[in-house]
Amino acid sequence: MIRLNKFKYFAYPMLVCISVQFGCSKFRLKSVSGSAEGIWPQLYKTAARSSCDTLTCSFPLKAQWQNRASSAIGPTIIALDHYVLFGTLDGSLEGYTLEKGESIGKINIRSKVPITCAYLEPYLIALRRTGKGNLICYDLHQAETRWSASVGIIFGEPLIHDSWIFLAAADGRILRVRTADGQISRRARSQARFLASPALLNDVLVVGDDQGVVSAFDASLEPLWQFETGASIRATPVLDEGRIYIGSTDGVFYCLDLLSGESLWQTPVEGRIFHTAAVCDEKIVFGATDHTVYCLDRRSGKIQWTFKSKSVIGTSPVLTKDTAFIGSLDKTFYALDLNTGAQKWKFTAKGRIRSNPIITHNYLLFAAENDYVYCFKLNAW
Amino acid sequence: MKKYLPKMRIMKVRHDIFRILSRFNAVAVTVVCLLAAQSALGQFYFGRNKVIYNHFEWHVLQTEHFDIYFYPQMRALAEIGASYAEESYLVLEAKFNHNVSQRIPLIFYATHSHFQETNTLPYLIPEGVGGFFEFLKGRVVVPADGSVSDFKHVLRHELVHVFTYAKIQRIMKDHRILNHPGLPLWFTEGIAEYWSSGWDTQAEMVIRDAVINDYLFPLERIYEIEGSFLMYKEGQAVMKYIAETYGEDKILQLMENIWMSNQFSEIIKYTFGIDLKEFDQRWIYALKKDKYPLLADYDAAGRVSDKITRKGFNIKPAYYQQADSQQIVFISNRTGYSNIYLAPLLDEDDNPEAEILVAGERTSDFESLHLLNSNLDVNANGELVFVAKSGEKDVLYIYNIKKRAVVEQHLFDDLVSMYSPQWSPDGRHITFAGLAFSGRRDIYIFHRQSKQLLRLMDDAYDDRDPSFSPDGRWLAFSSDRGAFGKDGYYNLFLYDCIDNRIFYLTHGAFSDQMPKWSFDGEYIAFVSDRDGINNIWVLQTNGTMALQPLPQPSDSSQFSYLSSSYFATALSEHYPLRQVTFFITGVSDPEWTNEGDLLFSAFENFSFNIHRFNDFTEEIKIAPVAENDTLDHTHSSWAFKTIDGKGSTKQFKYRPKFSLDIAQSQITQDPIFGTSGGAQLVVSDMLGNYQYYFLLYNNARTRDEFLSSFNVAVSRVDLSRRTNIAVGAYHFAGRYYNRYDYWFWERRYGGYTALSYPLSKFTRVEASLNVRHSDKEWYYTSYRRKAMLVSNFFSFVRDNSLWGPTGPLDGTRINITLGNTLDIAHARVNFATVIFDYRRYFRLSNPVAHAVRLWTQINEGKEATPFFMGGSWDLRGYRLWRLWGTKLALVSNELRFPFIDRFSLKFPFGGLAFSSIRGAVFLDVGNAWDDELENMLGSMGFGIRFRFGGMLVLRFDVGRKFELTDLNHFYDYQKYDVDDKWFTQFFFGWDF
Repeated sequence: MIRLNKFKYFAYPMLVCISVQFGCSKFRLKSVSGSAEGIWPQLYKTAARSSCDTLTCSFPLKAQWQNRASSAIGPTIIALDHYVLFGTLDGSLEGYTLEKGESIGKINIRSKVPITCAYLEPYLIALRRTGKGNLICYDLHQAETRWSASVGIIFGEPLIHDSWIFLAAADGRILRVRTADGQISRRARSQARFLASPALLNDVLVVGDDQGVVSAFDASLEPLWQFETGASIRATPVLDEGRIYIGSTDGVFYCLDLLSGESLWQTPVEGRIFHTAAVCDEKIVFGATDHTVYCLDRRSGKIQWTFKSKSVIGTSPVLTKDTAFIGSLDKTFYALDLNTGAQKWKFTAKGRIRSNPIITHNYLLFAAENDYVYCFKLNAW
Repeated sequence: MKKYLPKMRIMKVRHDIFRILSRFNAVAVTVVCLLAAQSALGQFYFGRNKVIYNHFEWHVLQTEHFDIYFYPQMRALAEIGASYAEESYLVLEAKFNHNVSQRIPLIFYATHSHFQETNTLPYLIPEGVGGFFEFLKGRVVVPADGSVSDFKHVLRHELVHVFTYAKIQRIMKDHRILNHPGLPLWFTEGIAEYWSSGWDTQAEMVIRDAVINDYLFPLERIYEIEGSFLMYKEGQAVMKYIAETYGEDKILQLMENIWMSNQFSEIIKYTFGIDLKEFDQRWIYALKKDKYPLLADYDAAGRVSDKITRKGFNIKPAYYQQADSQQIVFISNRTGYSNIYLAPLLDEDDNPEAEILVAGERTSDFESLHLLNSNLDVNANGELVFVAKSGEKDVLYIYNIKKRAVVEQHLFDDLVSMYSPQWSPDGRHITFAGLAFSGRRDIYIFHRQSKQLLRLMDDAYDDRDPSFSPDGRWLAFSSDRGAFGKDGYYNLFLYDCIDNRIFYLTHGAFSDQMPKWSFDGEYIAFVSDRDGINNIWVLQTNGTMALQPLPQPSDSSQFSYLSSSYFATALSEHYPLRQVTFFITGVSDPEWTNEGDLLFSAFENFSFNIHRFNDFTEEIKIAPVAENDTLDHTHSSWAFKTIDGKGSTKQFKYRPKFSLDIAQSQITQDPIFGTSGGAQLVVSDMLGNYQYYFLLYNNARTRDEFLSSFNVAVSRVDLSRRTNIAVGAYHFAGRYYNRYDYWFWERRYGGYTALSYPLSKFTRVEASLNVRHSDKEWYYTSYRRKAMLVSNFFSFVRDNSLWGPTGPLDGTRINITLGNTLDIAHARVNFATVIFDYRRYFRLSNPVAHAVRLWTQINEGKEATPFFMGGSWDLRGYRLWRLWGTKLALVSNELRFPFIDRFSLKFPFGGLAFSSIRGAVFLDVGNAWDDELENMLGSMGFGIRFRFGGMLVLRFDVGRKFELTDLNHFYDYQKYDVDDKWFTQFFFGWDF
């Protein structure tokens, strides 16, 4: 359990001085909350990849802090209650305190390889894209590496569910790894290569591959069904209420049945779809290369509204009850009315927005290509 | 870089700067020489000239993402280009999933001749270069050539490079990678071609030929053809294979994975899951599967027709009947220079010798014969008409074959370039396609007697390949004015010279070009790519052109871009259309003989040669009739999209703004000269017309010397006009050493100006004035001298040399310099300078040349500066610059020949390929002296030259030195004292 309060007044400065180890130094975060509100533990928050929060927002948003990381920030930021952590593209993990943005340290893996992370209490799961022992489980309470495993090249990110880690590898394998000891307990094999991350709901694992095929597996990684789209899939599927929502680089957004893989509807758009959608209530939101943010009705697939930015949409969205937040390569982060698509607010950074935004507690966080992490308060109160 | 086939786009400029020196380098070298107060470096003071004929009044058109530089005469074309650039930006943004954060400068030229005058690159730009993207300022420079679709293609090709560069830069920055070789050239060019033109007829032609004739290079060995046109096309073919087999996203993934390894073969493995060898096997197998079955229905041209020529590229045949003998006139680059040849039209096995009628690329009259772009024609009187670039523009020449002389030449004020002139049947008119200053290409008719030039069209459509009918009434030509022209297709049209009307002749989504009437007017042969590759098709006119008018469309505004009305013509079964040849690779330039044979150029084994199809008219009769084209009556003419009024645009006059090109710093440590450190900066404007050079360094050995040891130089170079001007000022101080003065200390400060005026592409005059204060102290004698030195130099330079892999093989190079240096304050220095450097290259056969060099340098007078010689660059066998004197003379003879054509070394981790290792046998005689020449030194031997990495030539010589002390008996070989020992000398540098 979290024991941060005891160390509250000297832990923060201590943390700055602490050296970290994944193989060479230590990184200690004893105080991590287990409350769901404060956790954004992995890519798109849940195993089903919902990217949805229940908050409402008041605009304009108040800037809380902004910090420059030591190098380019990867696509995923995670939140561990009062901390935010992210991997960089040159192989380090960095973190800040949520409220004040104070650095809590840096783990330099010295691998020069992009690294992502996810959290499953009390473990921090770090994944290097390539290399020996590239999947690492670090016990935050004990401050020690619990195990590491070689899982091959992974372009996507780990999926954490129950006590398992699911990975889709570039060589076509789907792996299920036990968090307790890093044992690979199951493997499935595909002819294609996986560039995207999987999603999981009701013991059905879904992932798209570079041949444009959406594959589903059961909990034991036995294949269930496959569905072919027209081009490679880079986006992670979103699973919700027995349905799969996924965009393809063929420019079509698909809705499939989770159990059968049957196509329920397909909506073509003008651009190619690289990023994952977000689903909240009856709406699905995603961006495409034609500069456009699309909102579809999730039952029918009809386009409810569109919003045009000035360049390619660079991130997946994150949704609240009334707002869609999304970033673009025009260096602008947008807040759009979820019902109408009208722009409520925007923030122009000094770099393209490529890292996926998250919402944790009352804060919105995103990163830009100028190596900055930005934190805004969603509500003034 | 492409050498032979039309319109290659290059990304990185990979010029051999030692081969193609421009007058810019001449000025720059002059600057360096004056600043260093040394005699000119023997390797660099020749070179051809980039002549600025036009002083363009540049304007800038700003669109959302681009700054477009253009001149007013081509405003319409610039606006079309601007619209297409913005359209391309959106397309490429989606393909790359990336954008370009800076504004992109686009510099447009209306013609290729204008493009060759650009200062955005210091090098001469060959005719085969279709455009480029350069890294220093991120400029894209694109010429037009009359065809808007070609212009758009080149523009998009270069924009692909811009996006590729931006994307890779971002990835490297994100991953903090400083040293990475980047993407291989075949990839960057392949993707640029594929994402701009997809898969086109030209690519199909080259790849088919490579597969069928088994010279395709796998990617594992593609470094052996680095920079070649074949490499470009193979890259394009690989992209097509990846897109069709794995999906286009895989191409993007290859780029996005670039950070994963320095070896692109590893990137392929990461991306595809198979190694490079396996990828190669799959890709090549797929090509073979696709191309081999074509042999069932298609033939190699050489198998079913007579091959008339064999050596080099031979193209553009023109038939000529002289008394009873049949002749052909054609263009060939078989010697390296492009020339117009005459040869008897004999049977294939007779292999006749061809005679050069017009020697191209050596004189300013025939700077370029447009090897691949312009046809020839000969009339019944034996008069050849052709076009050649001569100075600023193309000139129309009439050459009398019997007299072997040019009898007329015509230059037209409004026309920059001309293409494919053709005689009228009576020999009184010449028709051709002319490219105006605005960039528009239209058909013209020149009346020889009255010298009148008639323009038949005046619109933005591209019209070319005109050909008179035997009765002189009709002109058949190719144009993109048809309904499919907006997609880049060319159809054939007829122009009625009597009624001044234009008619469709063919119609469809394909390209028909080069129409040629048979002698009896029964047929029109033309080249078409209807079946995916250029073959000869024939339209049978039956000797008449009965025309069927159509009702005029009600909306006449759709014809606002046309000068004439349109009617259907031979689009009916009364005029059968037939495909007569089924050659597997491309053909072009059909030319009838009066006996019903057909001559044409065929591409085979990566070369163009002229073939003859005997009894072609009989072949036509048995060829199956194809379905006639139909005219879609509702199809309106098309207009070019322009940027005018769209989005946010601004236009204003260009004013030079300067930005940094190069900044570098350097620290050196030398056991003799000690430590020095400094920096150099170069800034220039966007068009490269104005350049500033800054040099700053310090070579102090102690703190006390710091201020006095500052060396600084500033130069300004103006290249905007025909006369290039440099001015500068400098301060140099420090210790120097040479074997003549030994150690001395000198401070020099002053200013200089230098001019270079090109008389033509091959010849220029240069002048310079350098005024400086010199304070010199010799350590050996403790003598100190102050002087106010004024140096004047005047040079005449001529260079029309043709270069082989390691040095010149043909042509001449001359540098004659006269000068004087005078101390105007104290009269302590006063010497005259004469430099005479003459080099002639006698071509003995294609790869073999005898090179002769006559060189003398004289400084005569008070405190005359010595010259240095010795070493691999002049008197071989002697140590580098160990002979000195105020006078030197050298005679060199060298026989240059090929030694090893190619060998390659293959390692597990990669390979090295070496080509064109050349040999030399040499004899050098010369010496340097002050007052009296007492002896002559010499060497003789043999050597090997090896070009490494495209730029560096390594030289290894073996020989024996000799000395002649009795100069009066130089003819008596016994007077020569030859060394017993052999010397070896290894160095770098081009052959003289």
